[in-house]
Amino acid sequence: MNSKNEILSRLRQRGSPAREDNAPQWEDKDLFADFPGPSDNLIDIFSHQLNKLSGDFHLVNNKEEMVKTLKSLLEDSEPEQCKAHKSPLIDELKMLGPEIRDYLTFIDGDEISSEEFERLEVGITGADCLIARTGSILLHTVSAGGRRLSVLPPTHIVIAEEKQIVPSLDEAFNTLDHDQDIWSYATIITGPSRTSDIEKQLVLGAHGPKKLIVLIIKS
Amino acid sequence: MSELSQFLKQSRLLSRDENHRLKILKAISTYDEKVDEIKTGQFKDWQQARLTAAEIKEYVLDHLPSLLEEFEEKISSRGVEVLWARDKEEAQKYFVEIATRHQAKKVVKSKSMTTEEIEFNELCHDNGIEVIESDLGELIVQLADEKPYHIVTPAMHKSKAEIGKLFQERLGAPETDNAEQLTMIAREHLRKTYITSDIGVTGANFIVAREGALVLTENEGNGRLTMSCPPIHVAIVGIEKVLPCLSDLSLFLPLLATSGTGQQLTGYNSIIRGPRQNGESDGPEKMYVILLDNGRSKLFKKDRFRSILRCIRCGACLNACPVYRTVGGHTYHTPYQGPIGSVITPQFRGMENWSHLAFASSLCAACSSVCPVNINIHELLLENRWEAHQKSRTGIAWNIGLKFWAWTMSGRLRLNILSRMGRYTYRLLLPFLSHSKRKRIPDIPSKSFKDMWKKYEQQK
Repeated sequence: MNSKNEILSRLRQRGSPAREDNAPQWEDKDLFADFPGPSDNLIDIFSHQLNKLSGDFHLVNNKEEMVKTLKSLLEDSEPEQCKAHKSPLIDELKMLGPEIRDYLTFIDGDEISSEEFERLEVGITGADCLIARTGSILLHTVSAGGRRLSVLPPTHIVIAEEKQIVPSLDEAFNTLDHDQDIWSYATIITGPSRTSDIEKQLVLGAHGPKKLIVLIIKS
Repeated sequence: MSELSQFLKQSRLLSRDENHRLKILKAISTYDEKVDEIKTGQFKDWQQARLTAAEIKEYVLDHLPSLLEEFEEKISSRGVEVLWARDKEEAQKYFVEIATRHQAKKVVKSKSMTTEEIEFNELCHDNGIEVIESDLGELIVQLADEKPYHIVTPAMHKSKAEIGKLFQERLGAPETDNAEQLTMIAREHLRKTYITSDIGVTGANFIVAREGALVLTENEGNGRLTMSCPPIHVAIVGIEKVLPCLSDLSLFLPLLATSGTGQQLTGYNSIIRGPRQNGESDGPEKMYVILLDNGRSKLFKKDRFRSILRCIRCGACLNACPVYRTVGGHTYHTPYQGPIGSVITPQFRGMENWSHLAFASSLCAACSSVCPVNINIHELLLENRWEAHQKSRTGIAWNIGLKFWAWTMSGRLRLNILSRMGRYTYRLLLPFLSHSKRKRIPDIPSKSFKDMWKKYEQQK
C-alpha cells in the first residue's frame, strides 16, 4: 500500500461515526465586536485602524489631487528606484500627471531579476479590497503585479478607491471567491512588516516593507 | 541520560535561575496584556467564537480523508506536486529527492514547526545543503546552536544583550543591545539570502480544502520573501491543518492572531494556490507540498485523543502554564513544549521515554481555559497518565499504597486517626525538614480544619 492510502485508511478507522454532514455555519456579527473607532464610516474606521498599526493614510478627492499627493510622497526617491503595477487606476494617473510619469515604470510583462527588485526603494500597487475592521489590504498576484513588488522594496504604496473598502474579512473573502483570475498567491497585509522577537519589543521593518502608505480616492 | 533524568536535571536548574525566570515573566506578561486587550476589543463573544472554531475543526476531523483528497486534487491542477509522508524518515527522503533533482545547495526557510519535527536543519547539514532560518527568532536560536524555546516565540529566553553578543560573534556585527538595531542587522544579513537561495521552505498554518490553498501567517515578511524569490517552494504541512473553505479563515485568522501574539490579525496572511501561473510576472517555477502524518493518524483510533488534532499551534497553553513558565521550553526537549507538547509527545513518540511529560503538570487547567479551539488539554494529560500507568509494570507498591489511601479516605474515623497521626509525625520531623535549603516548611497550625469548623459551627 502506498503512503497516501495507508494514511487515509488510518484516518477512516475511527471509533465513532461522523456526526454532521454539513460544516457548521456562523454569522460574523454574532462573534465579532462592533466596529472600533469613533464613527461607523468605513473610511474613518479603516484609517483609524491603519494608523494604529503605524501605516500612513491619505484620502484625496480626485485623481488630480492623487497625482499631487503621489508626487510629494515620491519626491525624495529617484525615479529609477520606483516601480509600479499597471492597474487601470495607476495607468490613468500616469496619463494625467506628466510630473510623476517617470516614477511609475510598469513592471508588467518584463522579466525583472530579484537583484533589481532588491535595489528598488518603492513598490506601487493596486489592491483587491481594503478591510475596515482590521485596517488591512487584500491583494493578489494578478491585481498587484506579482509577489515581489509589494514585499521587497522598503516602501509599499497602495492606490485604491473608496468603494473598495469592505467592512470585514468575511466580505473580503467573498470578493476573492468570485474572482475568476488565475492567481497563485494572495496576501492580507495588516500594517508594515514587524517583529517582537527580541524581548517582545515591537520593531517595524523586519524583512518586508518598513513603510506602508495607503492612498484612497473618494468615489 | 534518559529523557526523564534530563527533564528533572534541567527543571531543577532553571526553576532556580532567577535571571531566566525574570526574562520569561517579562515576555509572558507583555503577551498577557496584549491578549486581554484584543480579546475583548475584537470579539463580541470569545467563548462562542472558540466553540464555533472547535465545531468547525471537529467537522474537519470527521471528514478529513475526503477534505485532504479535495485539497490534493485542486492544488495539483495548478501544477503542485503533493507528497504524502507517513513519518519523519519519509518526509526527509522526499526533501532530499527534491533537492537532488533541482541541484539545490542553499535553502532559505521560514518558521515552521513541522520542519522541527522532522529535524530538517540536521537533514540539510548531513546532505551538504546550507539552510538559513529567516524568522528573526529562529535565526537567533540557529546562530546560538539551540532549538526553539517556544513554538511561537523561539528566542523568548534571550535578552537583548545576549542577542547583541551573539550577532557580534557570529555575524561580525557592531556591538549593540538595541532591539531596533539588532532587527536591522538581521534584515541586512538575510536580504541577499532570499534572492540567492535555490529552495524556499515553509510550513503552513492552514490547508484550505475547497479552494486548494495553503495559508501562512507571519509578521515579518520573511515567509512572503521565502515563497516569492527562490525558484522552488517546498511546504511541509501536518495533515490535521485543514479548514473546509476560504471563508473559514475569517474566524480562524483573528482567533490565531489573538491567542498567538495578541494581535487582531498578524502582519501578513498569505494564501498560496500554486507556483507561478501563466500570465503572472513572478513566483517560483515549481511547488511541492509534503503532507506529514508522523503519528497524527494513529490518534484517530483513540476517540478521546482525537480532539488534540484541533490544535492550531497558537502557543497560548505554553504561556498560561505554570510549569512551562517555571522550567522553561528547552527542558521539555521536544519540538512542541508546554501542555500541548506534554499531550502529543508521549502519543507520537511513545510512553516509554516520554510519559514523564504528562506528570509535569499541576492539572490546574489554565491550558484548557485559554485554548482558542476549546481542547480540554488537562484531561488529555490525565489520559496520558492513565495510559502510562497501565503500561508500566512496576508500581505494585504504588497500587497498594493508593488502595490503602482510598480505604482510609472513605471512612471518617479512619481519616481522623490518620490525620492526627500525620500531624504528630510531621511535628516530630519538622526540625529536620526545615533544614531544606530552598524551601521553608510552614508550621502546622495548632487546630486542624475539622476542629476549626466545629468551633465555627458552634459560634454561629
